[in-house]
Amino acid sequence: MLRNYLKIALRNLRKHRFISFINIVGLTIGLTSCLLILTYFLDELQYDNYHKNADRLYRVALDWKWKTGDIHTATTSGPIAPLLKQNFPEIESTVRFFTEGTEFIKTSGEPLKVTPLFTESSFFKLFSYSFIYGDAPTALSEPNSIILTESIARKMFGEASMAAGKVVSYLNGAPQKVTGIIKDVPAQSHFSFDVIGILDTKSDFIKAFQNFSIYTYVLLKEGADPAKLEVKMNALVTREANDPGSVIRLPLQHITSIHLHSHLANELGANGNILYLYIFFTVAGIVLLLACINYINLATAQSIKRAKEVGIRKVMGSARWQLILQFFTESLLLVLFASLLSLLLMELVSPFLQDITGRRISIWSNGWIFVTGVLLLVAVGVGLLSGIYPAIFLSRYKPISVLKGVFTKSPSNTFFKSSLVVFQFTISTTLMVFTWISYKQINFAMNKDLGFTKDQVIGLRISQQMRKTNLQAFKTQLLQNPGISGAASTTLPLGNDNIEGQGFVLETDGHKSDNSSIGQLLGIDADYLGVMKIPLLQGRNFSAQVATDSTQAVIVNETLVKNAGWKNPVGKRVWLFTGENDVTTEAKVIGVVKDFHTSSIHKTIAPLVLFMAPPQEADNLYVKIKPENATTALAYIQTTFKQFDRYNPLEFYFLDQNFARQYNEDEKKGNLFLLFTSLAILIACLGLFGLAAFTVEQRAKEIGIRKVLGATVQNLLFMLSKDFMLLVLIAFVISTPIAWWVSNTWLQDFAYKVNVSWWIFAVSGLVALTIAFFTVAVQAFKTADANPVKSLRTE
Amino acid sequence: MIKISGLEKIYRTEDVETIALNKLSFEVSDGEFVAVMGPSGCGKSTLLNIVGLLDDPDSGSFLFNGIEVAKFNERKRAELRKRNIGFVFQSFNLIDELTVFENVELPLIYLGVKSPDRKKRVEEVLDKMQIMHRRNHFPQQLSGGQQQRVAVARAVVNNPKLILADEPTGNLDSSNGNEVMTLLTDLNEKGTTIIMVTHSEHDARFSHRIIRMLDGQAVIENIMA
Repeated sequence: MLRNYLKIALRNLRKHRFISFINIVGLTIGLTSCLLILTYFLDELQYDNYHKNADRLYRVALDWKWKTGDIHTATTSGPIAPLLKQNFPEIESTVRFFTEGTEFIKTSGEPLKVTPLFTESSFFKLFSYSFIYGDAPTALSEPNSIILTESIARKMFGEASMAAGKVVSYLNGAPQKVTGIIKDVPAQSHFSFDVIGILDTKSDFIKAFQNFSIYTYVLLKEGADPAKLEVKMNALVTREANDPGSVIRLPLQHITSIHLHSHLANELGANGNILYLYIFFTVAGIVLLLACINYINLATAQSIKRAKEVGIRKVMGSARWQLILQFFTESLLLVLFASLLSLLLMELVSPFLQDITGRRISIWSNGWIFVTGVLLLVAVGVGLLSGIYPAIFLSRYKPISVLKGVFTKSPSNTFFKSSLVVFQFTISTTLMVFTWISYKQINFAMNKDLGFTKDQVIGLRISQQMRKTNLQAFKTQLLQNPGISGAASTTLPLGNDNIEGQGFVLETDGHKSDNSSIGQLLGIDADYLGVMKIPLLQGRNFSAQVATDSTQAVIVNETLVKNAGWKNPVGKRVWLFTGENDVTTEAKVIGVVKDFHTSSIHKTIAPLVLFMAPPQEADNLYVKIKPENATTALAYIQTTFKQFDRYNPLEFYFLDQNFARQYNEDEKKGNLFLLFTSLAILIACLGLFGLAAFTVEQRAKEIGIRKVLGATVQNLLFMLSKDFMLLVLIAFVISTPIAWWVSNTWLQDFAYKVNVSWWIFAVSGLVALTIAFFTVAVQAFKTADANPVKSLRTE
Repeated sequence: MIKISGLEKIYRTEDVETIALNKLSFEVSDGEFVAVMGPSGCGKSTLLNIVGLLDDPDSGSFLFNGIEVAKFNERKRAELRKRNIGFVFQSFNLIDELTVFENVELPLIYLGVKSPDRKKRVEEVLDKMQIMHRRNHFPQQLSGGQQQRVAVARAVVNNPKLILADEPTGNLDSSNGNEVMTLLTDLNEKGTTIIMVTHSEHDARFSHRIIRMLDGQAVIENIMA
């Protein structure tokens, strides 16, 4: 019996090649989209699972709310970890680490750029890494020890094992002995590093309660309840901070949830977003659903052709369930075929996915049993979804009627088919509107006036050595080149999203406030505002000639003035934490700058305090170049840099590109949406094309008669396409509120956003109508243009 | 074999009520060859569908081999049909996607006959119908006469007690038509009961008895010499 079903299914696939093609293309695209997203989803869920104690491992984050602002950061201050360990027996172990940017390490050869992580010896009690050389308990027990990852050891010494016991050093730093070599950090890790150094726990910034630059992790004892512990931790830290106007919480983030669920300031890398995974999964599912709808619609449209067979089989003794089974076999066979093709397609498009996700993901990494299982499950599921309606619909034909060629057009079936077409175009139009708005938003973000000039500005990293001795001389020499119009130093680069989380105290009613405030603190020099073209609204700029400017003066932004409620900000006092035991130093506001963005426009502009940084703290130099001399200026910067810094290679970037990077993720998401939208429209149009072909075929006699009676090709085109156009129009009306809601919800993620204009909806609707019209018209024209005698004779 | 009494079938649409069978009664004995004749719309095909258990009557009695089947549900009718009745249609009604062999095999598949037995039985019948050489062809590759022979082969492959033929020669030329009538006569001579609906007086002469219908009723019966 089954053989008979398979045989007839295969012959039908071959006989109705055009329909099979539409169905297979649609289902393959839908299945590939779903399987790719599923593979990516599973990969994302694996993050940080490799740690042996992952189930008991938590990161301590920080939420601190003041009246004037708040901070939600992945970092805490140095004293938190020992405080927690002392007070809570349910904590088995804690570790702190610090990591920021890159450093150079060297041995005899060329210096090598690495990402270091500075931590304590308890690091390996919490995190699991495999040692190639050395061991977890002793690797960080001696001062000036360093642990290298395998690939760094190999790069420096040819073979990883050769690094054992060797001495390396940071540029201008003390020699470090290689006490451990570990396997590279797995890709599915929310933080990564190349080398591990020892954290100097005696340094000021570790001891300060108000400096939030340390990452703190805790390992709980077996059976400890993290929720209860968190409550106790919050109470303790509130007591210790002694800041009555604020609310402090220390959320415990389970290590395996960080990658997909944590979006705090100072995250250790580009985290994923569970919401987007759900969204993309839904969209991929919708693409697959559209393909299933094509199958349903085309199978029911074909029903007249299959009716005779149903009638004969029934006369020959087939029960209805046997016919249902037969039609299921057909849908299942088609879906299985599409599944196999989708496996092939997945391999072909995986480089594209790699481009989006940044890593190579293959479904085969889950093992062939998993792949086969998923594929079978999906094939049966999709086969059932697409096959159930046609199977029930086709099997209900009465044998006598169909064998005599008597058909009644069921109004409910026509309504069902039309509803499915409306659904397909509702989805396609919604996706089109949303994709358009997301592109508009990304474009807006890239071109928004950030409050300073980011074009033609080159950022340089300045080494500690140069900072100490001759930064000023370097600047002066750079300015001698006619291609360079300015140079300014700063403590932190703009556009990196890491100027966050500094506490300070503001003057309130002529006194030092009892509560601290939170905002951004940025060290600049006297040239910074000029080079970056940041307008000064009140007061004056810093001056190298005024001795007190470097210690007792600050410039603030408009947001800070507004939050503080100052009417005359110039002359007001600000107390900055020095970093040691929460001691503060007083400074006076000498100027107010217009608000400018320090990071992407996902974030609102925060209160900002600019201070005049001593040269040894300013490790970034912005050089403004003239566009017409860009190449020569860059070459000049390189040669000049070498004169002043013989040890470090020149690291530079263009500031506008640094900002553009902030929107890379948005751009990738936009591209993915564009892809899904195109696929959805393609599948919907394929379905419409097939349906139109059937309609035209069914109405061939009518078209023939109308032509004989004098209808023009245009008359017939209008007649044949108007029903389909009406469906697309209904879809447009339904999609408008949906697309409006979806787009607005997505835009909530941006602090500054574009308007959702009405014309985007109108144009999208028009595009959908045009595409649908041409799809139908191709079929309609073929029949309308044919000789009517032919169709009348075949009738 | 068949005893019909007071059989009624009425087709209703929104505005029109058509009486297809109007208290029809007649009997067919085992081994008989009966032709049913009458003008279009007199109820011949409706009668054939009810006798063939493809449709059910609105009222009246229908005894098949002594069993009342008028109130049988679809499942029971299908079961009885596939074991006892073979059909031959005017338009052959072969499945285009199946070969000659596969078309003839179909009733045996639904009867659950094992594959080797099916093969043997189908080959026997094809041989008898002299279309063995066409076994792997598809219906479109055959002439009308050949297609009807395949349809007859399919109707007899499960040795039914009754064959219902609905204008079996209607789409054939006279030579092919005669061939098909000879086949049916042979089958009847070997004991198969045949009820044939036809417009052709020529074909009707092959039968033992002609029932002439008008407006859903049997009006005349001619016994053939």
